[in-house]
Order: sequence, then C-alpha cells, then structure tokens
Amino acid sequence: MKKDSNIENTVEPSKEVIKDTSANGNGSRLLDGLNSAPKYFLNVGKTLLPFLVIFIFFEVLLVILHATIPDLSHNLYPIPHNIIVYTWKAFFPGKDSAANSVFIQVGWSFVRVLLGFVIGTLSGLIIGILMGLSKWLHRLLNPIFSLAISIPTLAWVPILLIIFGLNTKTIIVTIVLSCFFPIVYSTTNGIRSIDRKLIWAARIMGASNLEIFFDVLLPGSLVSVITGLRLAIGYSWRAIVGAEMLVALTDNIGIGYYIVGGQIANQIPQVIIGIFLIALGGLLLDATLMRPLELVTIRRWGMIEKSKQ
Amino acid sequence: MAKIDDRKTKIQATKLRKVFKERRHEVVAVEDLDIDIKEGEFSVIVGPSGCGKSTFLYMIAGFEKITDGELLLDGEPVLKPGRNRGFVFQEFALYPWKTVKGNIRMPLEIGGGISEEKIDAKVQEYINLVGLEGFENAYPHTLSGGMKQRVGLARALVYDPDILLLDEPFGSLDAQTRKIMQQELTRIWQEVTSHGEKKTVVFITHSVIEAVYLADRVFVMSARPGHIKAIIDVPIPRPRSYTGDEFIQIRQEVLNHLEEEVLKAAELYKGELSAE
Repeated sequence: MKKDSNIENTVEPSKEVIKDTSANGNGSRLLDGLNSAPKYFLNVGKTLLPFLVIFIFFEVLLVILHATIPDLSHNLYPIPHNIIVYTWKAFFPGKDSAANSVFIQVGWSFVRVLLGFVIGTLSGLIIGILMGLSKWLHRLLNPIFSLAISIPTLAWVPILLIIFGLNTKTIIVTIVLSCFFPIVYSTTNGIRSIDRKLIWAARIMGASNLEIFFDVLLPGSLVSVITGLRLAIGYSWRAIVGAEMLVALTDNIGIGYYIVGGQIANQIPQVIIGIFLIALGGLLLDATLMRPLELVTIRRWGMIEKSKQ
Repeated sequence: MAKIDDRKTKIQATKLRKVFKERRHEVVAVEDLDIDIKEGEFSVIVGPSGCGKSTFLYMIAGFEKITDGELLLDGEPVLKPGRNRGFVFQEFALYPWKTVKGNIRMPLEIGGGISEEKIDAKVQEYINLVGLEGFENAYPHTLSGGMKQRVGLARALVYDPDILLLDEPFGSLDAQTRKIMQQELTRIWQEVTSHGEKKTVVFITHSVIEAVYLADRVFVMSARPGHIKAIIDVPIPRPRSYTGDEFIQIRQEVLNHLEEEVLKAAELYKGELSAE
C-alpha cells in the first residue's frame, strides 16, 4: 500500500516529513561547544570579572588603610597582591625552607578524600541498591537513613576520635560517612523512581530480573546516582577540612592543617590561600570526575537538560 | 480473508474483573468484561477517560493481575508478561541510554539463541520497516514524537510476537503526525505476518476517527466499571480514507454509543469530586 489518491487530507509518509521533524538529528551534543572558541573565552572573562573587581577593591582599600595607619600588621591585614607573592612562596618554598609545599598539603587531602570517597561510595551503592530493590529493606532502613542524612558529618567526629584516636583513620572514616549517606539516599530513590513502564517494556520481552537490573534499573537510576556522587564529593571535601583541623595538631599535614597552621602563626594570607585552594580543589574534583561522567552518560542520553552557559 | 466470526479465538475474557485497593476504598476498574478477539484481527477499544481500557490492556500484557473472572490467550490463562505479546506505550517508554538500534536490539539480545549477524540483520529489517534508515545511532531524545513511536513499534515487533498491544500509542502526537502514523501502522500490520497470519492487534484510543480508520472491529467500553458495551464491525477495505459515506456512518454509530458513556463518566467524576 502506498497512497490513495482520493484521500483528502492525507499526507504521504515520506522521508522528508520524518527528517523535517528532527532538525537536530543525531548530531553529537559534545561537539556543540567546539565551534565557538571565542565565545568560550568571553564567558571565562565574564566569570573572572567579579573576582577582579573584588581584588581591586580590597587592594585599594588596604593600601589606603596601611597608608593612614602606619603600624597596621601586614600579617593580619594583608594587601591582596602580597597574598599572590605569598602564594608563590607557599607553593615553592625553596630548598632551605622547613615548610612543606602546599602541593603536598593539598595532595595529601586529595588522597584522603579519594580513598574515603571510594569506600563510602561503594558501600553506599550496595546498601542503596538493596534498599531500592527490596520494599521490605526500604521500610526497615529508610527512617534511619532519612534521619542520618540531616546530621552534619563533623558531628560524628568526636565519636570517631574516641574510637580511632587522633590520626588519619579518623579523617578517612569521616570522609566515608560524608559520602555514604547521600549515596545511599540517591541510589535508593533513583531505583525506586524509575518509570514502571520501562520495567514493563523489558518484562514483556521476557527479561529476567538480572537483565532488568543491569539493562534498566542501573542506567535508569544514573541521574539520581550522579547527583548523589556530586553531593558526596562536595560533602567529603568540606568534611576533610573540618576533620583535618580537628586532627591537625598530631597529623601535621593536609589542607585543613595548613589553614589551622595559618591561624597559629597569625598568618592571614596563609588562611586565605588555604580557602582558595579548597574552592579550587572542589571545582577540580567536579571538573575531572563528575563533568566527564555526566557528559558521556546522562547528558548524552538527554536525561538532563543541557546547562545554559 | 475469512469472516471475523469464523476465525479462531485469540484473546478471550469472561466476567473479567479488576479491583484496585486504595488506602481507604476500592476502585472497581473493570467489571463483567466479556470479549472475544479473533486471530489476526485488528481490534480497537474506545471508551471514555478512566473507563479501565488501559487496565484491560495491562491485564492482557500480564502487567496487572486480574482480580476475578477469566482471561485466556490461545486458551491459556495469562500469568505474566511474555514474548508472545508486544507492547507499545503512549509515552513510548524507550530506553534513553540506548540508541535507536540499541532499543530495537534489546528484545533479541534478551531472547538469546541467535547469532550477532542475524540480530543485526533483523534489527536493520525492522528499522527499514518503520522507516528509520539513517537514524540507527541516534538517541531517543533527539527524535520527534512520531519517530520515537516508530522505534516503539519496531521494538515491539522485532521478536515476532503473535499479539500486538498498543495503549493510546499516538495520543501524544500532533494531529498531522498522528494521521501519518495511523497509515504507517496499517501498512506495517498488513506487511508483517507471523506463521502466515497477521498479528492480532488490540489498540486502545479515545479517538473515534482513529478507531474507525484502523479497526476490523471497534469495541466501545462503558464508563467505569468498564465492560464492553457495543461491538461495531468496520467492513471498509484498506487502504481507507477518513471520508466517504460508510466511514462517516460508522463513525457516527460509534460516537452515539460513546457519547452516553462519556456523559456517564463525567457524572461519575463529578460525583467523586464532590464526595471528597
């Protein structure tokens, strides 16, 4: 059957019609950004502008302050450009300096975060998947986890200090806890909120429970799981600063210790550098771990909106 | 083509009943539903919103358990979903993480027992059948509604089920695309056979025009609790047009049966609103 000439308002199902309705076809969204490099730099400029404004504001303010009040401490009221000089020294202290480079401080924190993140995430995924699959387990555990997720991780630290003592173990277990709860929560919800029709569609093809788990439930819960991973990274990066500050006195290493060190030495520039590094570290973790993961999965699949630049 | 009444029964429901238990009360979705759908028949069920027509389809598919009565496919009671049936959903229910090809491959991969080359060939055959050449590697979110439903159709047909169940498959499409898809479905149904027989189709809609355009027989369902209120034969040869005296006359007949039920459904709905 092709076409009936006496059909009045009938449209021939031609390929043109089909192609018209899908203007953006199957082109890769990954490539969208590449043909707009100048726009990219413009956007970077727009992002950096507020920081430049703040920098200049405080530069002018502090230069005036130091000019009017001659014996104002440069350690407590640093002029911004001096912080930049200080940053250089912090990163490259030179051979004769006893201090560790900030690279090492931050590096150690990264290692701890990653270790705690891996342990916390894996255990969280396992519990989350079990709770997502079993109504019974969900009913049993959900009230507990709903309560636990609202507890700031640092509130656990005193208990951990009693159990593990003032050492790296306490720091890592803190990270594990800060990842575990959001991952459990997001994985459970991710699995439970999958459209039942996606499961039905697999059932009628004769899919087994195992096939449904791997082909439908796991990829279907990824949007929620990735949100959980993002939260987990954010929480753990926050928690490590707190945990290292508390354990700092015996441990002597890590970004939290570096900040506390600045406080002890009355060096506000050191504290400010520490704060900036925390922010950069969080961004870096997100950009190197979460963004690529999102790009090759849920963004590519159109499961979340493309973010506006 | 043999007359419909002479053909073998494919789907049979007797005194079928479905009750949903809500927290405080029960909702009787389907009651005393008797139906006899023949092998190779294109049956369309129309009914007012909320009359339980989708529920009935879910029971045939094995997604929902029946509460009472009997529901037989080829003389066997429906116990669970299975590969003798294909299902097309109104919301498409495609897997966003699979490409067009990946979605259509899935039933064959699950079935197992066929070589990769045979799977590829079969998938390509069905991609061509539904007119999606060139979109094999596209992800569903880049497709228009009509194209998504073409994928849905191919996915439901690729493993050669005897029965094709469609739950308002074109309900979310615009009017123009909807017409194209009605013609395409007719073409595909006439092309694809299993064991020399056409597929037995159960198609749910609330569009009377769609029903009369597609069906061998139109079944009008009552307002809730749903049962079959009228059966109207559509002896118009295919390919059909949406006009012509016979078409309009049958359409009017279906509309007359349906109108009463739509009013009843509206009353029922109002009653429920005021009771709350």
